[in-house]
Formats: sequence, structure tokens, C-alpha cells
Amino acid sequence: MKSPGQQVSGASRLISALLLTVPVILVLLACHQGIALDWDAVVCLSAADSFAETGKLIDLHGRELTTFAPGLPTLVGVLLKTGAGFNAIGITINVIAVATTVVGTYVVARDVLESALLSWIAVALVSLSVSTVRVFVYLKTEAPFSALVMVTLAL
Amino acid sequence: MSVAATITAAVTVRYIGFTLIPMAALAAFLASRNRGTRQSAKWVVITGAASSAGLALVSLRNARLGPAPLGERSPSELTAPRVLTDTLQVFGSYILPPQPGNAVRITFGAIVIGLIVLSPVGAWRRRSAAGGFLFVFVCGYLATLIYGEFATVIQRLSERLLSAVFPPIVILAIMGLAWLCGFHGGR
Repeated sequence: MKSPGQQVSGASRLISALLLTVPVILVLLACHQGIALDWDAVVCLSAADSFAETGKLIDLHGRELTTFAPGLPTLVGVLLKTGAGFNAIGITINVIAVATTVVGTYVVARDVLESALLSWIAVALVSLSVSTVRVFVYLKTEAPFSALVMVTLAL
Repeated sequence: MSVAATITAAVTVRYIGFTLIPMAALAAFLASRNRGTRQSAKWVVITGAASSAGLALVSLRNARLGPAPLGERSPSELTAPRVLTDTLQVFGSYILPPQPGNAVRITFGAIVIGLIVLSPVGAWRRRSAAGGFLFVFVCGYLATLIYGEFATVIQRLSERLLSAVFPPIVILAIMGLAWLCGFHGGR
């Protein structure tokens, strides 16, 4: 028979696995028909495509991209050069980003709130929020940036 | 160094990542404050400089191309009440579904801001330097974003622009609420 401590530990593992898996599944479901694109995403993607072709970040107006920082279009451009499709690249980046953000939230919450229960509540609110899904379905800078901010705060 | 590398990566992804640079310097100061003023100052300078690599990289690239160091922008025409309403609407949308102009959502936004404002009290009561640090970061990020709204045309403040501070906002709001309810939790 399991002791109460073992049961709590098992339940804790199950909850953590669920809270990490659910946002990833929600993002994958939302991207089922392709990664979300809007005007900014198209500008980013056109610069990435240009980087893959010419090594320069030219946006769809034919100008060097400066309105947005060059990190994401460069990364996507390098990955496009490997032959991967932009859908696969975008979804992979966003899935890694959402998982990193959720884990980062737990680490920061544990440090700040000093309570396992409150930390799990914070993680649940972030990972099950519709706001999280809405942000992490676009091929835009918000997804990797949010993950990098949480990693920085966790470090 | 890992912090500096992460901040460098963040600034090359979004310009507003530069708000992390003073936070890294502050963290270096807090970590080394017991080693004497000279050592503290040395670590603040080293961490600040190493974390600024990404900012230097993108600024130099943009300066070489002609426009402003942080990209080409037009002047903003947004007013303070508009920006304040947008901010409250976004904070309210964390609780209620988006419905533009909804007074209830603005009220919920004000409640979320109230909880965030209470969080440093909770941090102080718990002697939590991490809580105070997180509060300073969120305030710095919001102040930069709101200044950006007045200074240049980016986009109206939305959950997209606030997405990077959504998890810290949730943590601070819980801290504020926990203090309000007298909840201390268990480790």
C-alpha cells in the first residue's frame, strides 16, 4: 500500500505532466491546419524566406528589415535553408516555446511564491489560459521572446 | 554568462528585450552585495556589458542601414486615456472574454492591477527578494511599453505585446491575492 507521501508525489507528477502537455496539445490542435499568420507574421516570413535565398533580411516591401528585430526571421531563414517547411518550423518553435514558458513559470513561481500549491495554481492559470494559446499559434516573435524572458527570470 | 546569453538572444528576437539588461545588472548587484562595493560594481558592469551584446548587435546593424537604432518608426498619436483603457482591457481579458469597450472587463483589469500593486507588500512580508525583483521587472517592462505607445507607432497595447509578462503578472497577482487572504501556503 502506498504511503500518503508517495500518493502526493504521484499526483504531483501527474498534474505537472498534464499542465505541461495540455498547452502543447492545444497549440498543436490550433495549428492543425497550419501556423497562424497575420500581417506581421507575413513580414517576418518574407524576410526569413529572403534570408534563406539571398542571405539578406529583405521584407516584402523590398527593404532591409529593421521594424522587427532580426533574430526570428534569421532563425526561420536558416531552418528554411535545410528544406523544412515554414509550417513545421513555426509549429516546432512555438511548441518548444510554450513548453519552456510553462516550465519557466513553475520555476519562477516556486522561487517567488515559496509554495507548491500557489506555484501549481500559477502554472495552471498560464498553461490553460486562452491568451497563451492565442499568442503561441502565430509565427511571430512573441512566442520565442516569452520563453526567453521566462528562462532569464528563472536563471 | 548564461543570463547574458539569454538576454542577448531575447534582444535579437524583440527590441524590448533590452528591459532585461538593467534587471541582470540588478541581479548581479544583489548576488554580490556582500562582497564589498568594488566587487559589486565590477559584477554589475560585467553583467550589464555582457547582457548588452545583443542590443549592440541589432543597433549597429540598424544604424548601418540608416534608420533609428531600434528600427524605423513613425510618431504615435495615441493619448494617455486611450493607452490606459487598452492596458485595463488587456488585464481584464485575462479573466473575461474580449469585448471591446466592456466596462466590466475594464473593472476586472483594474482588479488585476490592484493585486499586482499589492504584491510587493506580500513580497516584503515574506522577505522575498525574488518577489520584489519580479515586481520591478514587470513595472519596468510596462513602463517601457507604455512609453513606446506614446513615442512611436507600434500597435495598440494588446495581449500580444503583454504576452512576455503574462506569467509574471499571474505570479504577482497570486502573491497579492495570497497576502490579501492571509494565505501563506506550504512548501
